[in-house]
Amino acid sequence: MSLSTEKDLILDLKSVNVKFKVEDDTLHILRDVSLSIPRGSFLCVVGESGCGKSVTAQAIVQLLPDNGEISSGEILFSQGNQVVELNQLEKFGKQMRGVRGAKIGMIFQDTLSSLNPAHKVGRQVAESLLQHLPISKGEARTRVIELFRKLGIPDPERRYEAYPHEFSGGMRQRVMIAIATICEPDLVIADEPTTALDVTIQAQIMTLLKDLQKSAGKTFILITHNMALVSEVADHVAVMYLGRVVEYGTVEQVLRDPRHPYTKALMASVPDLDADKNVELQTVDGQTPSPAEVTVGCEFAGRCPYVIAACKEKTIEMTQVNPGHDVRCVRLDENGKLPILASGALHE
Amino acid sequence: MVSFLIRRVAILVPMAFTISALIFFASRLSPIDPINAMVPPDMASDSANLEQLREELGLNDNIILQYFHWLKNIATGDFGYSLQSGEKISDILALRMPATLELVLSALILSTLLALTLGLFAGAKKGGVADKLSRVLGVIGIAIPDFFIGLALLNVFAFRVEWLPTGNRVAPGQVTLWDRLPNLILPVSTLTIAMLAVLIRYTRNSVLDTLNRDFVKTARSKGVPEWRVLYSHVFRNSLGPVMVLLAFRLPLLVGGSILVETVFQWPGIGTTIIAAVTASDYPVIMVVSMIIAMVILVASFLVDIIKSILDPRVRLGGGN
Repeated sequence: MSLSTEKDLILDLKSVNVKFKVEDDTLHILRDVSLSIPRGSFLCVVGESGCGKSVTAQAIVQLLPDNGEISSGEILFSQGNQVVELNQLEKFGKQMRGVRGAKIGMIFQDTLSSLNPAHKVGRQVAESLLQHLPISKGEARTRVIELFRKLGIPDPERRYEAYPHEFSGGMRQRVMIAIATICEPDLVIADEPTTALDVTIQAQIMTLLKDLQKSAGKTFILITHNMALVSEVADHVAVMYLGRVVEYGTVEQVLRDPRHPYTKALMASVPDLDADKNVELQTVDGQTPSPAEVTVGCEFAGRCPYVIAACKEKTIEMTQVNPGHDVRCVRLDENGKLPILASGALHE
Repeated sequence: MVSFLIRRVAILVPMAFTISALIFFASRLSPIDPINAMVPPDMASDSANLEQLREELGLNDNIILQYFHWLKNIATGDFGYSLQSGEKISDILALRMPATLELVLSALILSTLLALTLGLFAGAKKGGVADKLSRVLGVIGIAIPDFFIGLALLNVFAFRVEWLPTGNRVAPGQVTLWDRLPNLILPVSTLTIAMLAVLIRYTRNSVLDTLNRDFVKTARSKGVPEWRVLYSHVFRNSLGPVMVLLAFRLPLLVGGSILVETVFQWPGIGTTIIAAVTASDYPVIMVVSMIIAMVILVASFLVDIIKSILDPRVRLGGGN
């Protein structure tokens, strides 16, 4: 139980499997998810709805819904010079609670429902602080107001006393960021923090997060399906498909040189201002299969233009195509390249 | 908040007038002549006497005039006389109201305390002991009508084992509340069980709903201990619907429970209503209806206040 010594990893997921019980079925939602996250990095986890991005985040902090559980794997979190296996801790036990909020901060998507409508926002931020630090209410208040000011919330003294419904969506997201960061956690996990916001506000919030990462040296995991955001903020990208990480690498590797057919298709579906307007935007054909369907081999095989018989025979392993760039695909040749398709099903 | 209150009170006034008009004119629409209830049958043939009585009672006046006359009397506390007994209605109420209050208030307090405790625990730990107990109580209370529960309790505790009296409140003033307690136990238990069922279900479901809301996840992501999550985030947000249900039960305090009071021969407002209706005793029916309606109005006003305290978003509704 030790983290890889070559790099200073803050979080290391090793073959994490998560299963959900739905009525009489057991759904295998995360399949052997392995992610190594270097301290101080900004990792984006991308993929379609239902690919397991959010479940990964919830599994890390052990806040899965009641019907979900981590069935196997290790989640190693480096806390100072100590490494804690988070999945071994009791869900609502003291140790796990000591990690949540204090060491790992969480930012959620829907800010209106994620804030308690009956409590003043200041109190909701201070709650985190009072939980983890031996400080007085007055001190907590001062620090919350200070953070509000830093995060660009105007008139912070007055806003401290306001209720969530009195805030705009962007301001509420700043409050969420305050909740997640007030205890100066080493790692912040943001689960689609800008999805509910309009574009200009999105940009402001992303800049804010990026600044926090740079200035405070925090590690960020951003879960998003917005590929445009990824290139702006991320340094590492993990692409997920149906509960599996199918490609992992630095942002240059994954976005400029995608190797997995799914990543390629995903990149081709991003609108580009410079593109020829007469060329139709690519979409990924077909639907994400239901996790209830038992598939052998590659989960993407059913929608993949490169599919061959070998894809459906057994579980595909991750292969390294370049240092730090891993892809889960059997069609890659010895240079880590996909074969050229005769029919040109994917424009490149 | 102040303007919210003012707006809310302003609605009450026209509502009270409308209700009073409805009660008054509805009673006048009835085909039963109240005079017949007053006059013994052997005198009823003397139409001159009846006509004179009508004139004295003001029953020949313009109906609108009669309405305002009645309204003025009610407002000044002059409730008139019972046609049946000739007693002052205020005297009847003074005698009967404490009996009903004693019964309903005890049951209301008991059922609320029990239901909130059980419901909160049942919701917080689905499938636990409290959840199972509350489900059993819920089914009993909802499926079995209150008068039947009353009869069953009577049968067992009053007739078979003879531990408790059959009800029938001892007149106030004669003995202390402590001495009357045995008489109270059965009717109060009956009413409590009947009220408990819905309240428990409401509380439990409300807690379960709240537990699924996103802000609970946020609270947990702060590392707040579970008991604090429940106490500070879940319970307060679960109380809204429960408080509404509770406030709407306040009118029972003055209306009493007709069935339970009848089963236990409890001399409260419920039995008074039954007697008045059978005897076409209109003045009594009207006054009691009016009082119950007013308490309902006040209760719904209370509901809004409670809601606005529990959920600051309610205060918005226009203006402000």
